[in-house]
Amino acid sequence: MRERRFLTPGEGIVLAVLALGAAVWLALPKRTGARAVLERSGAVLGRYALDAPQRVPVQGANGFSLTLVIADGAAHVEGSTCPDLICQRHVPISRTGEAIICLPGEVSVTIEGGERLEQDAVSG
Amino acid sequence: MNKTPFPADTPARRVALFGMLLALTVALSWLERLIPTDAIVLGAKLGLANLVVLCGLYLFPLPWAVALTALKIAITGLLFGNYYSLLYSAAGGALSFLAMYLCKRLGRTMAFTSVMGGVFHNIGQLCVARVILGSMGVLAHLPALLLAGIGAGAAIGAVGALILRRLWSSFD
Repeated sequence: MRERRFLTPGEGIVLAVLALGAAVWLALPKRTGARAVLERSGAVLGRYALDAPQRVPVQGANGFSLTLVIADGAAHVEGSTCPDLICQRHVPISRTGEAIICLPGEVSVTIEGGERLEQDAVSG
Repeated sequence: MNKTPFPADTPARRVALFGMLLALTVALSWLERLIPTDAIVLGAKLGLANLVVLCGLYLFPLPWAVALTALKIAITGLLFGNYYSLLYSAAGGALSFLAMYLCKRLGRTMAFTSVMGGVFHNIGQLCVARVILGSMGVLAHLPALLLAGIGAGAAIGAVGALILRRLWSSFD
């Protein structure tokens, strides 16, 4: 046990493949989303366009509340009354598939939709 | 594995070491709260206290290691957390411990064992989040959490291997 190597070559390969896979997945080009989907306990409360700045008060589960803020084409959370404030510390999200989650309040904000840049150029 | 995980293992020594390690988990959990890593990757933590769980797995027989992990989750959950964080800690901790135990049984190195512990801790927490929220959005965090688990696990594993090497040689 004491003489054992830090990591065997086989383990190193497994870890490298795993890390590379996750990194590639993470680095996949993501489209800028169009809407923030607000959900509580799995039910959709509303969809909010990212290009329309606004503040949405949310009454979460278990007596917790927070405010969904749409600003500068991104969504973030403010004024959460939950104890751990992970959702509030999270950076603003704007790409399709990104999500901010408030676990105690069972609230999630997910970015969906979004047009491809080419289409924007055509319509513009 | 022989019956005495560390040299000169006596009941008194084992109890003393167990108590010291448990106290250390509380200190490390407190220290970890000062580092806001979870703003970068949602809910991701360094897992400093997991260092103790990892060492416990290698130092103690299985029931003691399980007890150390369970007590660590209960104490730090009650001291620093709340009902929700306790739930997530328990799910992540249980899956993580299981993964690490299997790795150790399969004769994997401590670093690899630690990485698997980190990865499965995050997978366990995501599963609970998926169930409670009922939203697939949580899965968007999987790649980032996998990377975080691998990185933190490797760091913790490296430190753990160093600690055990010193600890063992101090018993000689």
